[in-house]
Amino acid sequence: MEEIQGNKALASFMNVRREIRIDVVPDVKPGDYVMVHAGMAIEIMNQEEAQETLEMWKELSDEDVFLN
Amino acid sequence: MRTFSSTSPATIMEVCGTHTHELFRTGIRFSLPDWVKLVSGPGCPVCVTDDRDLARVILMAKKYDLTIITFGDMVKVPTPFGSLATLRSKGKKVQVVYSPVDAVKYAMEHKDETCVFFAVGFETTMPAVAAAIQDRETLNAKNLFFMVNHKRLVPALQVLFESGRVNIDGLLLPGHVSAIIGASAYKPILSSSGIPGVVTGFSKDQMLRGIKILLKLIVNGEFGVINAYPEVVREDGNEKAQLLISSYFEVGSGFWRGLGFIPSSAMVLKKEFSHLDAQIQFPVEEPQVSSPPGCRCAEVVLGAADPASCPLFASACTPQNPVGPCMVSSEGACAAWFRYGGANLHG
Repeated sequence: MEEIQGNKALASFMNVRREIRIDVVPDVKPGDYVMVHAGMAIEIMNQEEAQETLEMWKELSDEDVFLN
Repeated sequence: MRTFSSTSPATIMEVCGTHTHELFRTGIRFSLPDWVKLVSGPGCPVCVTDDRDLARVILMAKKYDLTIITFGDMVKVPTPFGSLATLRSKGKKVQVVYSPVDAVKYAMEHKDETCVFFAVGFETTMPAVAAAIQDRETLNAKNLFFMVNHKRLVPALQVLFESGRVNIDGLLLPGHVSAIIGASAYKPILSSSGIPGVVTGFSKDQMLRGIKILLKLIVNGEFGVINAYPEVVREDGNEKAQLLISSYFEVGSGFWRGLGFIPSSAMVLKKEFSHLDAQIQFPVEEPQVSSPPGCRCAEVVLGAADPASCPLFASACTPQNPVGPCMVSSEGACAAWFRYGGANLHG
């Protein structure tokens, strides 16, 4: 999570930055990790959990490159 | 203590498209002992969407010259009235968005178009759609309407258990849906059915841990709900998300592929939002639909049939040329079996 403005924030994920909504995680702070679904943060994650999820997506993306 | 064998295995059902996919991709599905069987239940939102609801959107778009906005996975799902992709090929506008709030942006930038956002998804997607409705009202995007087809997981599981169509010994419960509704939401149905459930995350370690806990419960004949994903899932879920959902939606009834009509299994727009309800604003005749000949999606979504048992699987039905939604959606069981060679599990 990067900048926060009202109910919106900028989040980066695997080198992609995009605007997300944070309506239902109002306590989120810059630097936190969040679980995002359909452009909305639905829960704050701890760093360890976030790293595991990022690893999973990295593996998936590497596979896609390979398969394509 | 219960005992299981390869001919009478402990059957674990996952009800989340991401679990379906990840259990294959990580190899877990291929490495479990032969006395454990994994089946996929109604966890893929595109797959459980009934053809008549998608057909209604297609008929609506044709009759009222609408722009349809939805998630990418919906576009290629075929119905007897064609798909959204065929609609687009005939010159109608079909817009894919990543987030429902992007539908509001699109409508604001295309004020000469009458737009309908086709909302599908379980509890996980509802807050994002509620936020889009909130934006629509705040920004007065009068050319945007909503066709809401949201599904509630728990009533569907209850109907599935009561139907007796599948024998399930335990449930691997979805982390994302549970983050919204909370681990406690499953307790009433799992207590009454005597089936244990474990809420789990999506990494290899988390899924293995969840399966291990679940197998212990199954073998010991215990039931109830264990939250093995407390890093993200709280006992009562995300109350702010529940509040946002209930601001715009209320419990209603709906049709599910494979399960039919289920009372209280849907979330529908509240009456005070009927001015943006596409079903009310753009009425069409009830479409008559039937599954494509041979397609077993209606059984696959229940875990009552393996994808490889479908006569169309990997022959007439492939991800490039899908016949049923379970092959269209990346979260569908057929798509996962095709991609990861699940047919080999059965020789």
